Amino acid sequence: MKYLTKNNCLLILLLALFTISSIGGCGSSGSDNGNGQDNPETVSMEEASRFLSMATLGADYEEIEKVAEIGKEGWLEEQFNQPIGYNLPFTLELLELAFRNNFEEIHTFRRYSWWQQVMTSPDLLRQRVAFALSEIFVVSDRVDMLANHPEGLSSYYDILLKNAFGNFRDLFLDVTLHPVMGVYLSHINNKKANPEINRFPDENYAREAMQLFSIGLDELNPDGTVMTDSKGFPIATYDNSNITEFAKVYTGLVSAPAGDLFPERRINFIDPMVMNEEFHETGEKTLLNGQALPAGQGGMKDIEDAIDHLFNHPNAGPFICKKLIQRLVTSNPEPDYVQRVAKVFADNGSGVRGDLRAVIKAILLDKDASDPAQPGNQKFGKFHEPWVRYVSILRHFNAATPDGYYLNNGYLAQFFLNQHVLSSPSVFNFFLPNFKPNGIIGENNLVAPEFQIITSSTIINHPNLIFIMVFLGELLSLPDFEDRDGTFFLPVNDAVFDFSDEIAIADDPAALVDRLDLILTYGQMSDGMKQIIIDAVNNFEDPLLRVQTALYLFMISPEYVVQN
Amino acid sequence: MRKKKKNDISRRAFIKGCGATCAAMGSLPFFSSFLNLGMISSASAANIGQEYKAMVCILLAGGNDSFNMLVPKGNPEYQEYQSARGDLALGQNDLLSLDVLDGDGREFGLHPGMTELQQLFNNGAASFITNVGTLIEPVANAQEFETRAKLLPLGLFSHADQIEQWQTSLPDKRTGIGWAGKMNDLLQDLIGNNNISMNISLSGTNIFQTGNQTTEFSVSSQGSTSIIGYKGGDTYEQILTQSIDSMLNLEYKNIFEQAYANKLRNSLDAEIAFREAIMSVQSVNTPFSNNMFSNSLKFIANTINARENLGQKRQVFFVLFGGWDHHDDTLPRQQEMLPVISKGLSEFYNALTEMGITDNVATFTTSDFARTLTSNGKGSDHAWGSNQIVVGGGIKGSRIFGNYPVLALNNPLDVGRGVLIPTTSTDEFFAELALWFGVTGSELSSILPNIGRFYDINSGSAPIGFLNI
Repeated sequence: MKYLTKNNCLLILLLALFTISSIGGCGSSGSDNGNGQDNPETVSMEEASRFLSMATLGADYEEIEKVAEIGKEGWLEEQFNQPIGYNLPFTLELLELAFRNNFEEIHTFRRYSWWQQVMTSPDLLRQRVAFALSEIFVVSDRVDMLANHPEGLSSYYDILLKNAFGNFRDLFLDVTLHPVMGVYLSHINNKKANPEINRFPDENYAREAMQLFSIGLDELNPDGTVMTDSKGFPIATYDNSNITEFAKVYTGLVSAPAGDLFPERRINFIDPMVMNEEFHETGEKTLLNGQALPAGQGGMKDIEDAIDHLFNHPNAGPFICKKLIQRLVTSNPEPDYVQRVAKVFADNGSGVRGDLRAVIKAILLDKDASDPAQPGNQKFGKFHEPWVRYVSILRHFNAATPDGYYLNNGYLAQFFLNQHVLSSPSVFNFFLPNFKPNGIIGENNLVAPEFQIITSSTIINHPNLIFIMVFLGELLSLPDFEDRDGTFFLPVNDAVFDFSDEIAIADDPAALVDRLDLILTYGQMSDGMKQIIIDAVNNFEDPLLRVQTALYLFMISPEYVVQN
Repeated sequence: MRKKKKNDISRRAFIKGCGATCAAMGSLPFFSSFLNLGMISSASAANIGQEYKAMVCILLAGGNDSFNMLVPKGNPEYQEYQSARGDLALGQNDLLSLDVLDGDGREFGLHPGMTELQQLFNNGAASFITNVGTLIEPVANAQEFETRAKLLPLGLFSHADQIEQWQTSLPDKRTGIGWAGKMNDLLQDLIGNNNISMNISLSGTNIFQTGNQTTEFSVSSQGSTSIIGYKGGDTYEQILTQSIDSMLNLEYKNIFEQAYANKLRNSLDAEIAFREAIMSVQSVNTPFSNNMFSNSLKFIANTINARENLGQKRQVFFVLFGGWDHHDDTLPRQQEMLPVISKGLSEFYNALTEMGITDNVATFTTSDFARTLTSNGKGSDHAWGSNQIVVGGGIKGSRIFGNYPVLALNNPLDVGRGVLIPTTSTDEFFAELALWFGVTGSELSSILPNIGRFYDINSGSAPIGFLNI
């Protein structure tokens, strides 16, 4: 172990005497930093692993060791300063190759770029947060036009990456002005009213910008709970007439000029939309709570003012913070957890509202996220999303291709799991934040959003996907390129797991299980389940088969599927 | 080159989708409460009888612009339509003529892409329910709407809310419990001694089929699938099976973990029972188009064909056909998508004809809402009262049920941009289906709590009159 210095060797010997049946590793935090000083930053390997399950799309053993050594805050600071793993450059590279070679099947390029960054870019936290944001500020390739413009989807994802540690207000504005969102929620080319021909501004974006992206349907208390009136009913934040007014604001946006990259295209899917004042509704617009935007102040000013208006709404903090907590940590956060985080949204400590970097830090370091007692809490935690489980297994075990490209179109996983990044069936994402399943979850008055896509078919498909990856060695869905004699501009190779450390200890099933327990279930797997796996493994001699069997059973176990 | 791994596991297992289990079906495993055992509901007085019945609910998610599906063809109604719809209006001569029985003299036509549905209608196998939508209570006119003199549905014009309300028929609440789920809760003891849910979904978890006690059984158009190797005969498969069974037998303190274990156990058991039943009958011969919608209906037809082996006297199927939110490009999108509906419904009806049970299966469409009669320059936006299709079930075919509204703008039902107040509620639409299905009049309000505001069960007449109740 990396932090095994002379000074804490003795400590470890002592611990070993006490904790023969313990999970393993130096279980307590606060171990010596080698200078004889208590370093409050270091954490146990188990806690490090657990933290990384919230903060990344899957971490390998080395990353766990790093967090154990430099602590969570240290790791967060390091992560905040990593260069950003943008998607667009690789997509553009592929598009250029495609155009030069008359290659038409381009819609998968944005998938390849996503995998490239997620598998190789060191900005692990940012990639995780961007994915969470993509489930809130949803766009999807289910709209054909967007599927056919991978440069658009990559560019859109890049604004989520860019703003992940920026300011929420900037994120909201960038999303509003992005042409992919303009197409997805149809406010691109939205024109002012023409009553003579019975044409009125499209209301789609006006609605979703409030319902899903900023304030939600009901007035909220600072702790994210729904405010009620004197009769106990929720209070709506807006009604249809408000939407009609906001729809006037989002008029006049048109595509930026096509630019050099794709001169023949009708729509520039990369650069922010621009304002055509001729199409913009010039009259006064009434926002919420009677605030009015004066007539004739110009389209971009109207949009920025409307964004500010929603950004400053008291709902914005609790609304977004609760959603982010649900994406990363737990489905049913205590109201005071939400309130603590929303407070940071309101003021990051330096008088700034909307600081997402501070919010992410607050979410991940809050005692409710990191309290060692939480694992014992029956109601704490969330289901790992099917898509995140798929990505995680590849990252936990350093799946690598010989050439460094990950040309994964993801079709198999998408078909099996009914989930894929930027492929939501609607702007409401794959699951609703308040989904309350029948059975014991609902009986306990808990929500479990991700359970909404865990159906009787996907719950069986997931183990089969793991089977195909772990036993049949098919990790990525690679394109066939049959009509090109199997060639592409880049080498097409599947990824291979690195099980070398696991194979090395496969002769000791208990040790193998403990290692997998650390990586996958942060040392929390029950003795009962561990024994089941050890028993299964003991049927075989071959080290690889032992590792495969153990890993498969881990991945399908309820204790792995639930992140707590 | 992809590297292949040598191992003990047969690759054919994956391709077969069920490993060696297909061949080696042992005795059926113990079923758990998800499959309806252990949930005692009070004895239903429902009229189940000996006859088999099924419903197929199709959700056109996004809001089908159904005033471009069923269109006034005669004058002056067509002119009113054309004036309101502007650049969205279909050509009068392009509309497919409908031979309407018991009409009020108005002529109607169908979108030009729906020749098969035209035939079904003219042959008496299909009808329309018109200007139907979500209502908490009747709303007489735009003034009652504007002054809020009457209660209005929650989240009117919001997809998520309206789709939910078309599945719960409860526009005043967000319960997540659907009327087919409630029917299943009510009828589960009467509809056969089989342990598979009456509610079978081709589209995953859905509110429609979620009850208080029961949920849906999910399959895909490719069929049901089990875990590779599970219950298989060779050594590895036995080890795997034992590990999985032991794993699911553990008690989990964390509620989410226990819920997951429960669901996996139930799903494995149900799948085995289901697959055995399907495999022991022949597939229907009727050809189906190769698209998601038709493939789903084909699988439903084959499942219906296996109803005796499944031991189910009642089945409710759910198919979600998405992509109807045509804010943009309404005309081209409908041109692509309405024919898919038309063909699928016709192919399904042919399969039922092949099985000789057209009168036993009622297929109906639902959708979040219709769309604004007025154009936004490219398409239409969210509206309210809509038109839906019903096929089969011994329906009174060739008829336009409900009150097809005046389409001239600013008529008393127009609350703006040709958004029309429904004149028939989803309660009435579903009540008729539920009564046909076997729910008694006295039980109707437990399935549809608001029905009393629209229909008097003691009146002796049907809620709408499209089925023989």
